[in-house]
Amino acid sequence: MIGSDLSSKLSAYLDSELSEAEAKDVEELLRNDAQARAAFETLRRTSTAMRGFFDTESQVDEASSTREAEVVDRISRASARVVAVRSRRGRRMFLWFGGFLLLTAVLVWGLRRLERSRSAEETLRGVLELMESDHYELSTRLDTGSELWQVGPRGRFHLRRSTDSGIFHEGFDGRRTWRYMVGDGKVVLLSGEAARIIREANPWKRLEAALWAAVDEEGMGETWAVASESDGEERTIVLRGASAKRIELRFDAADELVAVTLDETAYAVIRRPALGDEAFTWETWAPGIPVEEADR
Amino acid sequence: MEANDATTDDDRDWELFLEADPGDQTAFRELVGRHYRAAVGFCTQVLNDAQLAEDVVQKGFVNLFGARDRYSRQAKFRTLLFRVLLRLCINELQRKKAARPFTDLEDEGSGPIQSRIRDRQGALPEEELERKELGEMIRAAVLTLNPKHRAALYLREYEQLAYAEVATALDATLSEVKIWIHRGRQAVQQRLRPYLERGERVQ
Repeated sequence: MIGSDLSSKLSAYLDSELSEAEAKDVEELLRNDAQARAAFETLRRTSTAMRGFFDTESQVDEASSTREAEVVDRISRASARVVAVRSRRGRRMFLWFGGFLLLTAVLVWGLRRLERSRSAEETLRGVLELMESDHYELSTRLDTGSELWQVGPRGRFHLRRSTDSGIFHEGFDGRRTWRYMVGDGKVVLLSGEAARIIREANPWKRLEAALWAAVDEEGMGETWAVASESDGEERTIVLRGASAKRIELRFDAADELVAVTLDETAYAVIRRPALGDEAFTWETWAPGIPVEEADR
Repeated sequence: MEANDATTDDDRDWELFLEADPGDQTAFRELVGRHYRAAVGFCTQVLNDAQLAEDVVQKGFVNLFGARDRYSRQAKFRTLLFRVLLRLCINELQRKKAARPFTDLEDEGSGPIQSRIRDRQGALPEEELERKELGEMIRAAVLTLNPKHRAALYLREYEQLAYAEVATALDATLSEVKIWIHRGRQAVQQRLRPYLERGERVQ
């Protein structure tokens, strides 16, 4: 009878799973020990018998072979199906994930835009409040044909005029004067010379006519009294209307508007020679709207 | 089989497994066909139920393919297959509470392997009958073993896997495999003692 340890070693030796040194020891033992030799022989026979048994078990007759082909086919179809489903699911997951990312990006973009537009709106409101506190609004908006113009306190103005090359913008936002041209969807800066040509094409006098019309329509409500005084060099026009406000407009010898008085409060008028039947909007000089500075 | 051929076969297995296109079933059929018998043989030994073994093999392949994105080539494909199958077999056995004891074996004659043996039996000569008897004794001995020990014995004796490969397939350590195989052989040896003593029958 041999010990369990040796028996285990013999089993591993049979499978060639011993180290070189251990295998040498076992070989030495087998040479010298008849009992070990017999045990090893029994083990070898057991192993052979088992191999034969498993081999017999694995033999397949014709009927089983036909059935095997069917089963293999069935498994292949099921496997292909599951791979296809997983692959579709993977694609769907990818699309969902992509969609989710896109939605998140749009949401973030929208929120930022909203924030920016709020900020622009608040700034504009601030500007308008400032203007109201100054009480220097001759007219916020005057329609002169197809174009618009506006003037504001402290000489602020914005001109927008259509030209063959695009839309010309000129303005003063209280700090700086800017001019630019928008054409083909792009902002094109104008040189001082181009601005001068535009100025000459739009004489100050044309503003006066438009102003009269505006005061009549919007500034005073129904105008019931108009007086005109002239001392040879200057001319003053006084308007009274249903609003009971008194507006006095003073023009110099060149017929240029130099001062405005609203209910006893006098305001200086900074000449903006580019005014005429051009267009103005408050919005375009509000901070947050990109404008290119040119020809300070 | 030569080592070089084995490497080539395994390369092909992994290629088929990882790159089979669901639109083309040829690759699936080739891979399943290459391993089907071994897979069924393995599961039949562990489960002692050829019909259930076929179901487990189908499930094993489908599971493997379903999760193929998670697998990369680390071992032989067949080793991976055995590993997945063993897990499924153990689940099945647990579901059935335990592997059927040997006493039930006599009643179990409807499985494909049993029917194959019976079909061949016919008017068998005495030698064939003795071989059959020997086979039943080995089966009885094998069935007394724990499923993992049974699997280890099958993978070593029939599939001729090295201990390291058996360990990978069974998710066990090398020393565990060594013990399982040794104990398995001892159990069979114990039952076969009368035959082994006669020697020539076994040969």
